[in-house]
Parts: sequence; structure tokens; C-alpha cells
Amino acid sequence: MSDELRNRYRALLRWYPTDYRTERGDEIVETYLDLAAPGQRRPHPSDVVDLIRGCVRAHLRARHSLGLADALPIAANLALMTATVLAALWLVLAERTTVPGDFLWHSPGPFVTLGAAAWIAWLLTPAAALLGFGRPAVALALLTTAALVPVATLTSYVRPPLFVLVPQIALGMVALAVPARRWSPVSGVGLAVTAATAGLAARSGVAKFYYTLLATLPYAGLCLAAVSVITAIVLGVRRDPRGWWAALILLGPVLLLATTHRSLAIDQQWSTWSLAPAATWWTGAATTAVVTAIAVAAVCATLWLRGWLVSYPAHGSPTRD
Amino acid sequence: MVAPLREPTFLILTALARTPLHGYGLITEVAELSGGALELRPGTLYGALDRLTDDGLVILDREEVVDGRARKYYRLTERGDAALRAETERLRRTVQAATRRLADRARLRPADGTASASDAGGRDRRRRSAPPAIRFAGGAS
Repeated sequence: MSDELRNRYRALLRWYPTDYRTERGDEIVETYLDLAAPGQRRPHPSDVVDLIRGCVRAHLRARHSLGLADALPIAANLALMTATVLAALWLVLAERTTVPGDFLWHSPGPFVTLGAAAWIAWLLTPAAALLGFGRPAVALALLTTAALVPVATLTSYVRPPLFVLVPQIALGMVALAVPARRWSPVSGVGLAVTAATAGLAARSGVAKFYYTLLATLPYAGLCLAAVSVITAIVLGVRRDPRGWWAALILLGPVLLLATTHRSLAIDQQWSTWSLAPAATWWTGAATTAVVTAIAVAAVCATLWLRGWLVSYPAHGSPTRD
Repeated sequence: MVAPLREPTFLILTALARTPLHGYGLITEVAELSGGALELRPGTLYGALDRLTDDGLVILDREEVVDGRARKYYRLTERGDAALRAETERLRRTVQAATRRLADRARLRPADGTASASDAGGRDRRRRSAPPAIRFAGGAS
């Protein structure tokens, strides 16, 4: 039975870097076996998660890029702050509009679209993060946001346009790495900024549907980029490089915020996605794919470049042993 | 300015302060030191050991074969010893400061548990110059 369990743990190590597996593989497996309960035949799911995390870190370490993993909490907090501020704006401004009487429109309760459920879920995340439940709350908000598309397709209710949902999902995926700690100053600032935004939006009293709020997205992208760079500079002064890694992680959401609406917008204030021409849909999908590819390529190129620079220093002599 | 150690890092270094340990020994020792609050798993532990080794705080001490299993023992380096001492001293000063503040609070508080406005103002002024509360950088993972 021990050999069976050993082989299963060993199989989970196959994605580690080969050199690392040769050096550490036996040691890791034997430690798992030391910790295994009597009669245990399979690795626990938590062990699989632990090994996946360790595997990613081993690959990053091999490329001298562990800063990427260290920066995830910073990027997650900034993404969560942006996502909740946007949710506050959409809920207060877009979801409280009055639909013209000549429109055939099914409103879910007091709100204009199904999006209200997702925005409320997002608005609860900073408070949940302060209580130590940030990650499950973000996962719930993310699932609610993603579920809007199939639910709207299957029902007669309207959902927010994709140019709103796509960047929100991208922000949510980064925000999933929010730390499990109960209190952090960043969470507190996020909650305060969200509350201030909601308050200012409510006081403005100008409720507009999503299509009239297009300019909000590039501004949100610009603000996120600016805060990321400022954070990177402040941390850089303290010889902490995590800020630049966080900015790199946030490149995808920033680009989506800046570009998606330009490809998806159509010239009707009350258009819903189901009424949009197919060409617009494909343009939006292509833009999202290209932006995502650029963001992923930027991360991969940075990792490759760091590994290459360490292996081949300025005089051109390989140092990899 | 040296950044505070993360909680797992501090506990791993503390576990190695007394004697060299292998992976399983480190996991049990860290769990005991943290009162069961931190249960490292091997994937996380060896990732942390890699980083500590890269930073020169921990080094491989020896390898032994016990019950047919090869075990690697790790120990603190001089640099690791210094880092642990510095962090322990930082935490000690913080705890001392917090203890003094609590003693001041108990002394200034009247028997009925309420405080006068002047007392509250005095505490506020002192609070502004207070050292940071005890905290570890980063989370548990």
C-alpha cells in the first residue's frame, strides 16, 4: 500500500522541473508518506493543491522569477479594489435607470438587469476579505458574474453588456489570489474607496444605462495602471520588486478595461447584446483574445528573459550548471 | 530597512534554532511552535526551504538513511542565526512597547472603567508615536 501511495505522489511530481525533481523528488514524497494516515491509499486533494503550488514556485524559481508569486497578493488586492469600485458604479448608476415604456424589457425586481446580483456579490467581497473570507467571496462573485451570460440566454431577463462583464471577470480571476488574512490596510482602503465611489455616484443622481457609461472603463483602466505603477515605485524605493511584478500581472485586466468597450459598443443607448450584429460580437471576441494573448505573452516573455539573462550574463558565458 | 520575516519563515528558522531537522521534523516542530495554527505541507515547506537556502539563511547539514529512507537535515547558517535574532529582538521590543501601553491604560483607567477627556487626549497623543503593532509580513502561505 505504501508503494502504491508513493507512486501516486511521485506521479504528481511529474510537472516539476526535471532537475528539481531529481534533487528533491524523493525527499518530498518521503515527507508526504511520513505525514500519511495509516491505510491512506491516495493523496489528499489538499496535497494536490500543495504540489501544484510548489510546482509553480519551482518553475518560477528556476527562472529567477519567484517575485511573480510573491506579487500575487498585491495584484489581487488592487484588482479586488477596482472590481468593487466598478460594481458600485454599475449598481448605483446603470442598474437604477428607468427603462423607456416602449421597450419590451423584463426587469428583475428593482434593478434593470440581472447584473445587479453580481454587483451586490462584488460589493460584499471587501467586507468578507476583512473577515478572512475574501477568496470564497471573490469566487462566488466571479461565478455569479460568469453565470449572467447563460442565465440571460435561458431566461427573458437582460444582462449587462459583455464589455462590462469581460474586464470584471479578468479582474476577478486576479482577485482570487487575495490573501486569507483577516485584516489588511489595503482591504480597508478598498472598502473606503468603494463606499466613497458609491456615495458620490448616488449623490450625482445621474442614472444612465451601461452604454452611456462607456468612458468609465478606460478611466478605470488608467487609474488601475497608475496605482500599480505608483505602488511599484514606492515598493521599489524599499528595494522590494514585487510592485513591478504586480503591474505585469494586472496588464491583462488593464488592457481589457481600456480596449474591450471600443470593439463591443454599438450605437444604441438601449441595445442589448442579443440585438448586436454578429460582426460586433466577433470583433469583441477577437479583441478579448488578442488582449489576453498579449498579457500572457508579456508574462511569459518576462520569465524567459529573466531566465536567459541569468544564464547568459553580459560577457556571454553560460553559467547554468 | 530589513523587511519583517513572514510568519512561516520565522517559525521555520525558530524550529531550526535548537538542532538540525529533516522535513517531517520541521513540519511537526512548526506545528508545535504555532500551537497547531500553522500546518505546513511538504510542497510549501520545501518551497520555503529553497528560498531560505537561496538567501543563505539555511543550509543542508547532513544526509542520513533511517529505516531505509534517506533523510536530509537542515540547519541555520550564521546569517540565518543573525536574521532570527534580529527578528526576535524586533518582536520583543514590540511586545514590550505593547505591554507598557497596556499597563499605562490600566493605570490611567478609573475604577469604574471610564476615562476622562484629558486622559483620552493624552492616550491619543501617545498613540501617534507608538511603534507598529505586532504583525508578520504576508499570509500563511
